[in-house]
Amino acid sequence: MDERPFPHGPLPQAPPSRRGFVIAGGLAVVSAGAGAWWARRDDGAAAPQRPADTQELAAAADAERELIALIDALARHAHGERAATLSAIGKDHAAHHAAIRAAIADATYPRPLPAQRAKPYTGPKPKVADLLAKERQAARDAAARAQRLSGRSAALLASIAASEAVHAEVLR
Amino acid sequence: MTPRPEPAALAAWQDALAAEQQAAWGYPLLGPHLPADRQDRARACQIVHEQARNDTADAIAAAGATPRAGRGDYPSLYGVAPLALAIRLEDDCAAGWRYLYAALADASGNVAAQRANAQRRLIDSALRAARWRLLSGAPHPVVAFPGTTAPK
Repeated sequence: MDERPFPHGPLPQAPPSRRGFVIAGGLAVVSAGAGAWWARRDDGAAAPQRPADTQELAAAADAERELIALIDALARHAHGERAATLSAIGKDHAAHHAAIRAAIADATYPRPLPAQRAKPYTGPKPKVADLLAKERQAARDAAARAQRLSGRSAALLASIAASEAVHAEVLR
Repeated sequence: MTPRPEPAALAAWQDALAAEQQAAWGYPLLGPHLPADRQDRARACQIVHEQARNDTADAIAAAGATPRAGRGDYPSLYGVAPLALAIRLEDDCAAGWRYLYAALADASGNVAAQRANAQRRLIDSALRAARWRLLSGAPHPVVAFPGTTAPK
């Protein structure tokens, strides 16, 4: 037992061994590596790849934006009942897009993907038949994506697939 | 043999069966109150739901569970206007199948076939609900999230 009065200096230490130098050096290298990894994460230059679920959701959001752009282009030439139908379908797609973006935000928290707006439709003058075909394809794609996802995102896309199948029915 | 689902998925499967039992029971109730051309449509829907009810009960039994028996009566369906009742029956089925889909999406094991079946039935119910909404004169017969949202 150390019976020296307080305060006192450090107890005599044995000089560091060669093994101690090797272990301490190894720990320093590991710590430096981990620090560099976190630094890369923080500046975003080498962020880890998005998980597969996020990629599926991002593709679903892209599909919704394409449909919104096509509907906007069609609506410019539509009148009366057809214009009302297109407007209602466009609102559904906007709701789908918002829900998918919310699911992406959940999946990527706290590093959200940047928001993206629909690019204007730039193809030839669209026809309702084009939208009908796109809605049918979107329903199939959403159902396939839902099968590859799990949890709430899967159920969300399953519901969106049903909505888009009904859009196609309404446009027939 | 169909793999036995986890308890949460089995409970959702029984709920989907209950929705199909209600629809199979409810369509004969509304049919006589419809014009002749719509009676044919209601009869076709009734046949679809009777088949879905039987198929679902068989699938639950094949998975080693006991399908829940249907109720003897559905008092909440009385007094509902015929088209509104048809829409409600289909919306309830859509909700049942979507709920099952969600439960299966959280389940482990190979449930891909059951998910595909739930997806197909969700879409079919959403389509029938939309057709009834069209007949009822609804301005927009589609809901953005079938199986989750109240009719517009």
